[in-house]
Amino acid sequence: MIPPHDTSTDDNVGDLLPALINGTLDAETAMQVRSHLDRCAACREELAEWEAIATATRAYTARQEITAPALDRLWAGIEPGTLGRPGNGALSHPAQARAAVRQGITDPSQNDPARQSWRTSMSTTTIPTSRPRFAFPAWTRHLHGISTALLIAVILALAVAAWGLSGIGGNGGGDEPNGNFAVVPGSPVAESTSVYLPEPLTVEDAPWIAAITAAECDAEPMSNHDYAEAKHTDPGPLERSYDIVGPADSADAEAAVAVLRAHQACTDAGMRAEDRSYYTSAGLFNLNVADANPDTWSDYKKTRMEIGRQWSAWANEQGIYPLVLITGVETESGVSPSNAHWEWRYNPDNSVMLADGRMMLFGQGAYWAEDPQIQEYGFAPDPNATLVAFILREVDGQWLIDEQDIPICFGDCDWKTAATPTVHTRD
Amino acid sequence: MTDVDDAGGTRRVKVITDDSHALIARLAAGDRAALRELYDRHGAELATFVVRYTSDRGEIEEIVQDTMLAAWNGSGRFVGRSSVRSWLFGIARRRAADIHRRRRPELADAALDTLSDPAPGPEAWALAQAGEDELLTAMERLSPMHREVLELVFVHHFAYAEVAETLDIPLGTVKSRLNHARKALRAHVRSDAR
Repeated sequence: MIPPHDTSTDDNVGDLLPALINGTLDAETAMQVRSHLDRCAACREELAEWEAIATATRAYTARQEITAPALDRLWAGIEPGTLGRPGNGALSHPAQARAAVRQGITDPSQNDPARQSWRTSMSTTTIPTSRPRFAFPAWTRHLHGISTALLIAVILALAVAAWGLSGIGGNGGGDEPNGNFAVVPGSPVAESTSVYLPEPLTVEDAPWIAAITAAECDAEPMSNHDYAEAKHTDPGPLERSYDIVGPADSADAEAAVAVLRAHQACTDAGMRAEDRSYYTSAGLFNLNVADANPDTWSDYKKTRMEIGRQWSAWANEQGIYPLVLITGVETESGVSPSNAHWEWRYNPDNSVMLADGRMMLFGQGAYWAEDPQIQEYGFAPDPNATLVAFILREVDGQWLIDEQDIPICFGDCDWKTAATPTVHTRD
Repeated sequence: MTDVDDAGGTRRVKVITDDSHALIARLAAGDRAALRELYDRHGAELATFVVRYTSDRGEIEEIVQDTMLAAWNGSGRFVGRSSVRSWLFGIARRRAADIHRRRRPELADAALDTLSDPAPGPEAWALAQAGEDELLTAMERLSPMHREVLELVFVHHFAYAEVAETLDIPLGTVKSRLNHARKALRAHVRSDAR
């Protein structure tokens, strides 16, 4: 209820005036506001001011309106040959889709120099642009059944990749979508997928996490015990190579993600609560881990399990399985003020471009600290290190972990060569 | 949905049946005609909206096309918590913001929101009495963030809740941002008058 007022603008009424002008108030509230205006001279002045602003805003925007021919051309870039099955079905290959979209655009500025620059940057790294040798990580010795599934996955990966690559090389615009993930050689994070997750997820979306018990975690093959042994061990040189499992069928993906889930949820893995947004990269599926109770490990771990579940569901929806990651093909290190080495091992072949221009990079996070107190929380860059997915965005040619502003270096990074490395902290 | 239009000084209010969610369901079922319909409904306003982020025609087209493709691809996951318009505008805005960020990072929205009122005081008359050219000049000088919220409200007729969804800000911030925009306009008009 809006109180009567005669002499001055009521704050509540003032807030509602733009909505009165644009017609979005419900009928009853609009009537109350108008009734109030009849009695309030100051409010009428304010309404006149808002009307002037509304008129100016429309006039300003009208000068920039897009013409009908431009809209026709724009549509022409969307429709022909670009669409696969929407929603839960397989996507058209986004590289094909985008190629077709670009065919409808004649403006040479569409070559997008920013993207070209990072492609060039990445192509100059030591990261192999061909698929690396396939090898199973040490932890798969615990998982003979899974290993079999992974082997099948590898075979499928090779077959599908070979097929997918042959399809991408030509003009994809008129092709029927193949619905499969594939990797473009020499352009590791090319538009191998183009996925946008339109609906933010919250913990409320996943009530099942409350049902997970500590016993369930204890039953997992990789328990905290493994980490207890590994925690204070010098990780040694980073020479392991796990390689990509890549495209597989759903069963393989589910098996792989089950391992991932157990891995992420059932080890402490040095995850300090305050690090949560970093390791879950904050932007991943827009799941805000802070929604969970930050003071309890269990909620945090459950939330990470949910991320694994969402990850699996997402991959299944898209028909892509960038699941069992990688790593070992390249190592980058930074130095933090606490003399801890941050290491990210990644293989850009496991990256995907998101439709909003960000990049999702799947990798293995590793943290090693000389400070014993930090070691206690740190986890060694061993095969059991937590698998991570980063959402990266590009700022001035550099890719940063979204919302954290932690740089990821793909090429020649100043902190690899500078006498005084740039220090990047999480705060 | 209620839409308001000004025509020849007469306010015309038309009520549109909101079947947008059904349209998205058709999209999710693979109905290409539904995508065309979605485009016919929202393509122009999306393009108009995107113009405020970039003057590069190629980028505008890319953003709108990406938005439509994202709608097609994501339609199966659209659960209707937001309006279709704010969903589309949100996608377009994030895409545009990303392109924009590459070129010139701006002061974060949150920081802008906390800027003090540039011109406190009851000077509503200043805007109401200002000439069209004066107001347009003031609009030019307005920060992109403030123009954005004004355009969503007065050009695209978004309800506050839709603005909040599109910009991913709380409802209260929509109101405060509107007021900051108004005060900034006042300040610009007044400084021009000096």
